[in-house]
Amino acid sequence: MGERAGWRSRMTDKYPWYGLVEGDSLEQGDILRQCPVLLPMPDMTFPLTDNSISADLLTFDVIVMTQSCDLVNDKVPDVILCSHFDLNEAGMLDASLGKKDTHKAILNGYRHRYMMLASNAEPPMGHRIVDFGRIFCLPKAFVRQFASGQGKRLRLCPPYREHLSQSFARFFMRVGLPQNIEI
Amino acid sequence: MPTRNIKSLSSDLTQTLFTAGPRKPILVKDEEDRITLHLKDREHLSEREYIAFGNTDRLQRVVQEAKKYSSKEDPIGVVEAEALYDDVPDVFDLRPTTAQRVTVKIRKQEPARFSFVDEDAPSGWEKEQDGEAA
Repeated sequence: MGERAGWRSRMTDKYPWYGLVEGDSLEQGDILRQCPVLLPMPDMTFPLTDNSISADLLTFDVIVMTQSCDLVNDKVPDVILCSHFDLNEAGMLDASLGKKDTHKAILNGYRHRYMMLASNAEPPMGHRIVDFGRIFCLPKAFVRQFASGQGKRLRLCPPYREHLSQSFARFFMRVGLPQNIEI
Repeated sequence: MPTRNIKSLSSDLTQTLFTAGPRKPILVKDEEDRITLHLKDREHLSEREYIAFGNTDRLQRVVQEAKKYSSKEDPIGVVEAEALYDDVPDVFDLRPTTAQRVTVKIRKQEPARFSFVDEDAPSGWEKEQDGEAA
């Protein structure tokens, strides 16, 4: 094993990206696969004239963004979720996501809307790209129920969980200046 | 015969100029950026040499020093890390795994009720909704 690979292996043992959980407990950084999300159609009009509306039932892999303390202490009725995608599969849909430059730009924080999650051996999961631009809100009871049906699932460990939360905050709080300082 | 003192260049600048030779030295942050630029800018490698420099302060010091000894406006170029990613789009085309059109029945249409949640209190959301808390 090379020096770099050895160091990486030691860091993975000491600071693993994920822990395994089971059941309906929810915390920030929980990864849920193929979660159904109901979204009103983009062309929905106002005022609503009917007793029913058309909606899209989409499935996404999602990650829990709501703070763990708010979930555990029942401070919120809903759970905020962001979508994430397998990097290889995403690269097939959008060629720019298959490029090393793009991966580096995201890893180095130059594309605030996105964040990378590490791969995992068991249960198997490839590298993931989290999209903070697609945010969903689902009832907590539903997400709990859905999570308990997932079997063994991944939960992001500290400090990666805090990194996720900070990246999300950075995307939201970013400010574009009308003009930059020229030095 | 008049004498002239020739000031020696710093080792950083000497090494930069030596590495670049007749090409224009362009300083970048690290080896990874240097490799990226080598791959991106293959056509101009006979004119430019990308050099990994690491520390930003050291990099700026060498740039300033080179300006003192050269009549050119920018004898040494610098590529900021952010500029490396100019070609990378801001938004990617990411889609849901499955999509299905459904009809949703509207159960009620009324203004949502405000409910204050005290973050320090142990009571739960459901209780407050039922009006048991506060």
